[in-house]
Amino acid sequence: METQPRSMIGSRQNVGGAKSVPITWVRLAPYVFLIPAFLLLLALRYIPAVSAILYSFTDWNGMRAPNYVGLQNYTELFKDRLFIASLSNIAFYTVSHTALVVVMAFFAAELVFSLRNRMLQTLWQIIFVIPLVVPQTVTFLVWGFVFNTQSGLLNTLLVSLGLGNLQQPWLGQSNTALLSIIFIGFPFVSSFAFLVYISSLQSLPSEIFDAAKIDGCNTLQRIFLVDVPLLRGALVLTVILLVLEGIQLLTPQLVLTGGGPGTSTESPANLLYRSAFKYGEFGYATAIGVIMLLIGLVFSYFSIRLRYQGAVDVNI
Amino acid sequence: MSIYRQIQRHGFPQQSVLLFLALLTLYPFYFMLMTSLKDNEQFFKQFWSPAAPFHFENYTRVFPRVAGFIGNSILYSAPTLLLVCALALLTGYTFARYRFKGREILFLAMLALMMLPGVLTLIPLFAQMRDWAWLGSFQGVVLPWTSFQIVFATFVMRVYFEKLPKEVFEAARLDGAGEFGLLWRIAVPLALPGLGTIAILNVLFTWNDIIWPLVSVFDRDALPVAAGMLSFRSDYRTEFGPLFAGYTLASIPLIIVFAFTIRRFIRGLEGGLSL
Repeated sequence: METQPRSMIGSRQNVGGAKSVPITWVRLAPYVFLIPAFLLLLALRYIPAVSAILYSFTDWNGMRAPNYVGLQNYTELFKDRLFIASLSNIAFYTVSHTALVVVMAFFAAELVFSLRNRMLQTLWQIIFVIPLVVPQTVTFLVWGFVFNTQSGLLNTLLVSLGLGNLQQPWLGQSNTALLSIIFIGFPFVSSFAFLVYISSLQSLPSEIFDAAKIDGCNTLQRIFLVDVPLLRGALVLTVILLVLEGIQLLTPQLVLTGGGPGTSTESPANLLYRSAFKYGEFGYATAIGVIMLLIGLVFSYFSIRLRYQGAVDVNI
Repeated sequence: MSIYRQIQRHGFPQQSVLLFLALLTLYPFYFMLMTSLKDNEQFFKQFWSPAAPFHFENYTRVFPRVAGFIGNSILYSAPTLLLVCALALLTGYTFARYRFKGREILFLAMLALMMLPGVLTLIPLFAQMRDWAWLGSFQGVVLPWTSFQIVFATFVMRVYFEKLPKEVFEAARLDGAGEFGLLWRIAVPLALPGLGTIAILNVLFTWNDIIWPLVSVFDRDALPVAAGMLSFRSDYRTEFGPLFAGYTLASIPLIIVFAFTIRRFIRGLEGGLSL
């Protein structure tokens, strides 16, 4: 464990020396400063990541020495009804949840920004950050109670509105469970995305807005023709973060549904978690992880490419 | 001018919509607070409104349990926080302020980790920690948490340092400051607002993560608060007052931290984050 990183650093120094420039402390300093972080990442991120990919071609159960089985885990995976269901669930969840969060957070950020008064803007920012600091488990547990069948908020509300026949076991039946999970956190304003949008809007030079006004832009035109293009960096960043988060969705399964009822809220991460830590199928589980990695990489690649295509706000 | 006057003078329609959104957002937590002071009879009789007498004993009943979890969380989170701040400062500063061979490659190699699903590395990490006999240990939680967090934190710190004026660093260098001098006397003090931001993000993460503790910590009494609340729930499933009192208690520490740091947090994000 110890020798490998050291030798890597050695080779980096040689890169500097190869051009036969005298190695001075100034030239070495950046490498030295990077050592601690990269040592930690090497031991706890890079090596596990590479070994996960290697293990996905084996029948490893966590104990015995793994045997190479080729693509068997992957072919089995795509025959697995649960896995296919989990992919379609996660696609539906990620697309709708990301869209809802981005639209609502952006809408609220524009509302706050339109106040044109720093003190008020900060006040509203603070109000919408409060729910972010409640532990996520608690948020999910409280929302689980909102959807509770017996005495939950939603059903009790429906009864008191005289709509008692609309009562549902929201998390307990296949056709509403996934939708209920998507709506956790409604109305989606309180999010990291909101904070990123509002701070990006505030950082735009005010001349842009004056120019838009002089050109006769109304508010809606300004938002779609000026703000959205100028915020595309922030928008793409939050979309990527939300999508990566969606692909890895596991907390609501662990806290609320366990992936059920049936396969209705199953997610790849939940399947991975169960295969590994309940059934000891470590090889199979890492194959699920590799598929998730590929989906995330493909998505990030295309969204970053899209972001820099014909970009008006950056010099490449 | 008082806040009240300002609210009246600026954008009344926008603020009405915002108020509506805020009420929807906060209502579940208000409900949690309200219910935490009821007994079961009050809960079923007066579902929507606060009910007197308040049952503060709900809190004293669940306090030992929840406080234990909170204590564990602090024990794991505080060292993680220190490590992440120190490493992200150092790394972000280096990427922003130095031009060196391999800079872009190393930075990309680091960013690539952001795309890496945490659950993918979970399994080899678990096996590795088991072989080192680190499962359930203090460093077995702190170091993995740190490794999960420093990537995004470095990204934030790099963006932050790049926005600082170059001249400050150049002037110090001309005055004969060495590399460590620059780091310690210039970078560290200037980094404080940026560090505030990543500190909060980091605390939010360590306070929320349930997956790694559920996998690696076997002793229920050693769980940090987010994971601990799951086993707490199964004990109080039918007693709504104590259940919600526990949830509220679990939320309090972060709300206190947040109350003191929110302005710094928002200031650290100033200028926005973007790709």
